[in-house]
Amino acid sequence: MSAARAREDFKGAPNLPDREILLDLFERMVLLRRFESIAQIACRKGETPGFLHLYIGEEATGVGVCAHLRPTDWVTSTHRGHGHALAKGANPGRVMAELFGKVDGICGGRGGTMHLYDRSVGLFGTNGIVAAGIGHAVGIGMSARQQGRDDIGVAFFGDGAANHGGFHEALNFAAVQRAPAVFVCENNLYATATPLKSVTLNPEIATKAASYGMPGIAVDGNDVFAVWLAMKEATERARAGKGPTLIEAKTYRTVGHHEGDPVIGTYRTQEELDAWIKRDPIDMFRKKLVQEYGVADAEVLATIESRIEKVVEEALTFARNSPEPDPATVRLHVFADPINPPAALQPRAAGETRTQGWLEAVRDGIAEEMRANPAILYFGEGTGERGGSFAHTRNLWQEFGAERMVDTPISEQGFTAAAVGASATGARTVSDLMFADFAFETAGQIFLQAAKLRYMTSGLMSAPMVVRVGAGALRSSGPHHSGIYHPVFAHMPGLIVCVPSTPADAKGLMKTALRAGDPVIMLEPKALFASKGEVPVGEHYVPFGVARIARAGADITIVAAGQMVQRALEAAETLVAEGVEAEVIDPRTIMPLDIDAIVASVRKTHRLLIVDEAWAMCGLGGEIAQAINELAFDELDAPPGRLHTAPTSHPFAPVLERAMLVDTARIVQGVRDVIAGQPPVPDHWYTVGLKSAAPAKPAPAPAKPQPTLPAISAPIAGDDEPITMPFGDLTVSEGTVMKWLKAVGDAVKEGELIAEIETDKAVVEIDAPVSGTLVAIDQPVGAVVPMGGRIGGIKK
Amino acid sequence: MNMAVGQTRRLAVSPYARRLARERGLPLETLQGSGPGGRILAADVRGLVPVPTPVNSPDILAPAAAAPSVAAPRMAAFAASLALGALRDLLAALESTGKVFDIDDVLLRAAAHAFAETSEAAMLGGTPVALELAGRQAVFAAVPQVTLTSLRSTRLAALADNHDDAEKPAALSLRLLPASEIRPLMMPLLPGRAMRLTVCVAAGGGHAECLLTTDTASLDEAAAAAWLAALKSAIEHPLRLFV
Repeated sequence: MSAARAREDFKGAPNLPDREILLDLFERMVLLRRFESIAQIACRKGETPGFLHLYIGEEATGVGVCAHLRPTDWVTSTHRGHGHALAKGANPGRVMAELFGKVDGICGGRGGTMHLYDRSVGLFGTNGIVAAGIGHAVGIGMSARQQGRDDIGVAFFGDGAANHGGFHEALNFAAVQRAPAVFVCENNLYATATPLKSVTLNPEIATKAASYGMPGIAVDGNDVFAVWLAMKEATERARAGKGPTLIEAKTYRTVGHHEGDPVIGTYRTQEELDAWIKRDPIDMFRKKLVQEYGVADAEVLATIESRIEKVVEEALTFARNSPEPDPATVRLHVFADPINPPAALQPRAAGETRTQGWLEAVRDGIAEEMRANPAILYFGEGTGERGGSFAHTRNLWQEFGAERMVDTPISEQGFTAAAVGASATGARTVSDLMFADFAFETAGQIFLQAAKLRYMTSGLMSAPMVVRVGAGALRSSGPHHSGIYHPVFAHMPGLIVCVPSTPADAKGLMKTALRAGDPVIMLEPKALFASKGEVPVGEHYVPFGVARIARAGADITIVAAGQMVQRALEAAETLVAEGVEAEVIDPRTIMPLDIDAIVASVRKTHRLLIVDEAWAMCGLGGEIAQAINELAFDELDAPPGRLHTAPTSHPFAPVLERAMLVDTARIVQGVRDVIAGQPPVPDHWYTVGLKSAAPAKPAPAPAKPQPTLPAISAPIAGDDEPITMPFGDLTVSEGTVMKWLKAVGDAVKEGELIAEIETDKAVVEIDAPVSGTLVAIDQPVGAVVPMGGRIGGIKK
Repeated sequence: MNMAVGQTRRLAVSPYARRLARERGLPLETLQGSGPGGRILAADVRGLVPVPTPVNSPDILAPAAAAPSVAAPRMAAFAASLALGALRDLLAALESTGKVFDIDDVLLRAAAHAFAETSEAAMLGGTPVALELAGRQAVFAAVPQVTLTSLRSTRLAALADNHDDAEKPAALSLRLLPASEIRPLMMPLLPGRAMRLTVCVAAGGGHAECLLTTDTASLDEAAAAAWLAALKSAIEHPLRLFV
């Protein structure tokens, strides 16, 4: 259905919605516009920290779409998302306070403009990452379906996202899953400043839906009723289980990409802007309400506008008066507190065990949890009927069905995004990526979305999904199937990282992970899949952050995880003949790390060797050794040593791979070296070739000192209204006065252009802040002015 | 000019060795390091003087020690009263079946039991316990493994002969003072012993006063207190010492 057809449909249609619905659409659009205008002024005054991307000009889309949604539906949004937040029902004062970074903001000041979340109204975040939220909406819909509700997920995104893998993966996955979702592309023609036509040969975004077998509809995104009609159908389709719809809303932002960015810039013309301003969604709808539909007169609409004016003024006052967050709270909301679920904290009696293989034990654990919690979904490639590449999900599909054991396309980004969305909305998910190496295909979803969700929302939301992968070297798996990468994941605040070494721990950690409150990276060493061990019968949970003493000893502490534990134990047995009793500590989880157990061991042995399968650079060896320096320096009788996999990619040739990996013999020698006071010398810094190079030149002094920003709140003395260089682009700190269009003594009107300042990026037009007489020009032409600096004054 | 100034070299000392020397008031300069490049290790410090020795001269303090060194042995003492009622009843019941034990036997066993329960104390060298006899000591190894009957016969044999085990390793020496109604307040450590337990059994055997003296360089105060608590618990609930 084209935009034109949508309008035609209406003209002849007798089914005009209720007057209240139409007036509500108008009121909401006014709210979005006025809110953004107030935010714009606050930004220019320097009251809002960070970037600001305004929704001005696109209101019809957000309002027309959200009018069909319940608080229990969720929308995912973009960097330009204040309008989506308000249209979905978020409190304007609390949204404004969030833009101000204040404690009463909807995310307590931790999220800000591009990370606005509100569980109470179904706002799944504005998002600083292009296309990241599209897949969330897919998972949100699948989560609701699994929980027996007909709520839906709706993704807003721009034309820029339509060329992103996140878009294609999410739409394809949604279509094949018949996900209860709607995709709303706000095509405002430019990805930042890149014209859509210059980056695709098919700029008709709605037609891309055909690639995935779903309906695609283009509508006039500035016509709120056209959007409303299209969304009505799409919503009904989604709720009825008929699958997702792509709506392309053709619209335009009549402001710059972000505040401080020029409105026209180098990529669009004044004529184009003027043409779109003539199609302003609010003006157009005002005219329709009065002239075409005849449901309101100017007076009624003016009443609405003055009511909204009061709402946004109150929002601004609320934001200004809200306190700053307490700096003492900065460390809160990284992980659930306590980090372990109650089940993992139950004291357990040592009971009956049975010998099980690794894969069987973990499969049992997953099945037990899936039986206990019907909202667990398992996403993976070939993990359904086929039972997984390692047979690691064998029989689960048969027991739990295709709705829960979801066979996915090879779209790590798409289904991991869905896992994030589903796990944050009441389901629990496993995103099975097969190999740890493949996690980087969806690194953004893991690091930027799942890991940060709890923190960005000040603890109000979280993404308790499990990323399950086979990890580590195993018999020439080669460069793309051998990595383990736990230090990379552990680096990111908000991720729990497990590297089990026994079938019992693998099962117990998996069961804990499926009850945890945070995203868990479950790195199961492939080399141990064929191993067997004693596994407790019945409920068995292993808590995060509790190390296991794999072998007690008094002479040296060896810290090892995953497949290195067995190597370390073999080394320890070899060393007995030399009179050395090594203690082997298996941390089991890299994050949280049970450093206390390692300290306690070093207090006993006074020597330490870390053996780790991941690489040395910025790795576990350095981390633990330094922690011991900090916590138990006086206990050390020798420098701590570390043995890591050689700093190369994983070679294919078996002889090369063996040369790369840490083996038992190297651990034995490493222990001898540490005991001899001379730990193995690593060489992973690759600086040898630079040794003979000329000494590095001292860093040049900065060309000129950065201008000092004036204190924002300090009023300049005098009774005139200051004219200031507006705050704007974060990367610009100053500008040069190019032109004064008025002289001292001239009368000026509020909003009138009075000066121009050129920055590194653009010419900034300075408008009169109030009407009156220009009484002072403090900064003449040619003067360099810092952002926020006063350049003159107007007396009312 | 002081020649030594020109010849000053930085001593290489492991952090743990430096700590041990600081705690024991030992001069690092006099030590020969056995580590790489002559680095002084913990074993070198332990090897020099096995016993904490009072040192008063500031000349021989470790030069690198920035913190003021207290050149004295770090002693700690902990007192406890032991209720012996349950033990007395149990010993009486056993005696009626022909098995005779003294409180000395039970105390030896309880001390070993306390070591097993207190991991930090156990690291002092396991469970050999030295029983103080007149002017000499008898060391009992493997106390937890042997039956109380054979422990008793070993003790009686030691009483009968004359040999002195003062040089044998043991973390603890046990002194039974033949004084009732006395509460010991201060007892020095014996050479080579990081702990000393002094026990005075009250007349009638209803309770005993005991004092645990420890070298804090070897055993943390909290661990020592935990050890004493474990001993008290074992004596007051004696049944498990007999099984």
